[in-house]
Amino acid sequence: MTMTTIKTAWTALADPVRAWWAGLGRLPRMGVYALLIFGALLLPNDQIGSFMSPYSDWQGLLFFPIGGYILLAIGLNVVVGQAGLLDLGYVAFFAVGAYSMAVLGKIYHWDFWEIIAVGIAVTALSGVILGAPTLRLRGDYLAIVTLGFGEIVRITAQNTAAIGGPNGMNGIPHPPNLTTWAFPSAQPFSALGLSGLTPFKYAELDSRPYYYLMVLAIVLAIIFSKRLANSRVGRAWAAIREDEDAAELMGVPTFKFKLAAFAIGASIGGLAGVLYSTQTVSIIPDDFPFILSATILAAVVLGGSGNIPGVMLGAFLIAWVPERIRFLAEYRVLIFGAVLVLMMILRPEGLLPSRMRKAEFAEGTGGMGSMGGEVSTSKKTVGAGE
Amino acid sequence: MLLEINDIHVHYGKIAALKGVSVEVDEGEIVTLIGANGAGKTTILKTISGLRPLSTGRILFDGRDISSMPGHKRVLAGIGQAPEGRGIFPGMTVTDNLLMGAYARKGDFSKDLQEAFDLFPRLAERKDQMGGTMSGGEQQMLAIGRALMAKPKVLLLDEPSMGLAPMLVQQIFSIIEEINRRGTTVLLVEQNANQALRLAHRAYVLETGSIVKSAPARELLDDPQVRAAYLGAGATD
Amino acid sequence: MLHDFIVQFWPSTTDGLALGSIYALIALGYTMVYGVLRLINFAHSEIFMIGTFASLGVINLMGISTPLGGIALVGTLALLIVVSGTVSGASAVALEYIAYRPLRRKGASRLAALISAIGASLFLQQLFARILIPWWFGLPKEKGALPIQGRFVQREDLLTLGSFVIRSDKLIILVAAVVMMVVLDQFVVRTKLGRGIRATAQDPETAVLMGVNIDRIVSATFAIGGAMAGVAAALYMLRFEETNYFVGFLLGIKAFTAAVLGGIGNLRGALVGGLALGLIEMYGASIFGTQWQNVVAFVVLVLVLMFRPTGILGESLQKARA
Repeated sequence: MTMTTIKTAWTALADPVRAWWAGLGRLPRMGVYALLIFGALLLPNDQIGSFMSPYSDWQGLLFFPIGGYILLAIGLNVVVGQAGLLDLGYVAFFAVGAYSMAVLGKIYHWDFWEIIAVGIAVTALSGVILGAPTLRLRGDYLAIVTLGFGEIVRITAQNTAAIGGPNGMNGIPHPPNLTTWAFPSAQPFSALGLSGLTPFKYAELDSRPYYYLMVLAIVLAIIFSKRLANSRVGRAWAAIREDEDAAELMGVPTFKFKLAAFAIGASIGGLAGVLYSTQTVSIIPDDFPFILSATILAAVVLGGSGNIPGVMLGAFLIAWVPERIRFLAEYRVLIFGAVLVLMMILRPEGLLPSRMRKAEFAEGTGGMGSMGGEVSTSKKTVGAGE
Repeated sequence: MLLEINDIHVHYGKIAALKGVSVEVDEGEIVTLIGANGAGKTTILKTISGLRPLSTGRILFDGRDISSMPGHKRVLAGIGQAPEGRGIFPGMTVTDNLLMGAYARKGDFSKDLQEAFDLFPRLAERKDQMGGTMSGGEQQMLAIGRALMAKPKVLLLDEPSMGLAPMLVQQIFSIIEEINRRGTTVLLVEQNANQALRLAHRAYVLETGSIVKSAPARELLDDPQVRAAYLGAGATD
Repeated sequence: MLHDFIVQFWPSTTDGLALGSIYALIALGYTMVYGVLRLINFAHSEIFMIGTFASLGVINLMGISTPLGGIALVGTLALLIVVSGTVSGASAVALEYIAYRPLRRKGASRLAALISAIGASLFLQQLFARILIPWWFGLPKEKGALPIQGRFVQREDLLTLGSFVIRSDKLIILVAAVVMMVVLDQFVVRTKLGRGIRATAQDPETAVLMGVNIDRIVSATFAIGGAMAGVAAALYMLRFEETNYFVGFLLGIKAFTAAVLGGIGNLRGALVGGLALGLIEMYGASIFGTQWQNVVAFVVLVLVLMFRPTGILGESLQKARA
């Protein structure tokens, strides 16, 4: 089957890269990171755009959905991939961030940079508010409650006249310009397509400055999330993910750590919301439907839950592929659905699974335990009848 | 030979649980597998019943190679098992649990139910009680009675004495003997080596996934190594 | 607010019971699949949606010109129940075969199965919106998302005692739902297949040792759950007389909420949870306004789970009666 060939080819491609990376020292790694960031800054180039997205505005696309999905996926990965909590209502935090920006910026005329800090705090708080009563619940109960919370936030926005009701809010202010400095029209800038670009001037038309802001947010989120993963907190999350009862018995205060995962994931989602809101100028409650939560979750799982390069790849593909196949525009979601099923059948562990997850998967405990009705597992099961 | 396990290897992920195990059980015998926790005893029984896949090796039953037969068909072929931890369906009544034992068969089971109740009068007293609410000894009786409902040619028993008081252990073992006398072949896995070796005709000793000894059970009872390792200092003949 | 609640108490109650009956029947599918596979069958809402279109097809084929009442209505409803139940049941079996079974074989994580379920759900919705509905009703492609109507019901007030009114359609729905529930409950308790389903839910490994073919049990579970969603779909068409490709989404979420509310994995819990949720929503709507109906439902769910983490009746079978 060609699918199998593609799978084998993918493994053959990914594994040596992984081995090479693992053997790299600290300094060369920093170099690679710097190169990657530099590459990301050059992405909004018209030539790249004409290949990547012949049907829509590439620079706008880079900001959202591509950049936005990546940031959201990194945030959701903290909750789902690292702590192993199934959140089906992640879009709620994105919405809280976006509305914080809109309300504080438009009604109270706060400065964008203040709002970012407050927006992150507000969404973290909303994560705690949602988490406190619900995080004692296990797996699927949590999933349905978070899904419900996502809907509550959307419907509440719809029903609250003070924030625009179903019409949402418009005229959301842009960030103040940091400087109006522009790249000179000289080499090498003209060759890179940067001439005349004002990277720190936040106007209506040019999405590149917002994209750079998004890149900065993504880089910070990655650093933060990586640091956490390698800390005491990250180890506690791993323990909770693999066996919550055992973790509790070992003295890990599971509730506190779960709450922390929720708050951190929420704050990254909120950051994405603030950025989205300030760029698009107007938001409506229907910008935050359940399907967006499902899409971001799909990005995390598709890429390889728990592994940051994986979830970034997953988010990129999910944001970009539908734009690239615009000629099938009306069938996009149809194809998206079919691809999700096919991917899960062919590679349920994701495109770039984390190593630890690979090991868990081999043991049959991958992710949140395997399905029941599966002969090679013997766990407590819940009954169907009386 | 009724059941012939031929050089089987079984893996959990990358870890080898069984490394080339061969066991034979002849018709009418009681054969016991003894060994410490984690030696692979339960894995052998699960593999025979088709709950674990073989990496290599074969299992022959009644002259047929059943190595790739799905688990539920092996029950029909004549392999019954009372699993580790008894596997009682907690939310089903004693009668329903027994009827589950006859799931693979067709027809009327009132006679078989009566036989099970004759063998275990305790079960008759509690036939409408939920399986999950019974004591350990009663659950063990139910597990054995349920396995017999399938009319197996060979009965696999996984640590029937686990967690039971000595009196009950005696009772369970004499029932096993009775079952064997009525014509059912038994493969018994036990940590209680002393009792098992007295009951069985032949025995195998399992250590970390390999058979290290096989002999008539009586001989192993006198074997100094086995006595030291499995029978403890207090064991007398 | 309180005044509205009192004035609307009786209509809210009958509306709530009718809606709750539909929730309960859909909830059965979630609860049975969850019991056996520990999987949230996210595409179950689309199985329901397919059922509404099966009923719509029958209504169109019959070419009903005047609204039906009395025996004719009951007979038509019986036909709709049979057709929708069959179509939905078959769809659910096919869904399991394509989207879940390969993952089960691989021992994939439940998270992967959930993503597959979400993918299947999107696929089925879009299949109807973009291809089937435009083709079937001769609509231009962009109109595929519009609601499609199929009027066939004459609504009669059966009993009027002051403000207490019982309307025929709501009564039929409640009775049909309760009857289906009792039949299913007896089926699961008394038959051999029912025993197999219960055994698999309680301990799949031991079930295999009893000679249970797990694949067959899983198929049967999807077939029964799907058929119940089909019955719900027929009743939904009786009550609302229109459907669209997206009709399953909110109903599905509510039905899953009902299943959790009653205690997931518990058949009687689905009935209790469904009726409770229907009533809560309608009472809530009469107090706070209909736009808050869904918020009320989810808030109550959170509250119930805070105090009874396994739902009203509990999920455990250990304590259940025979």
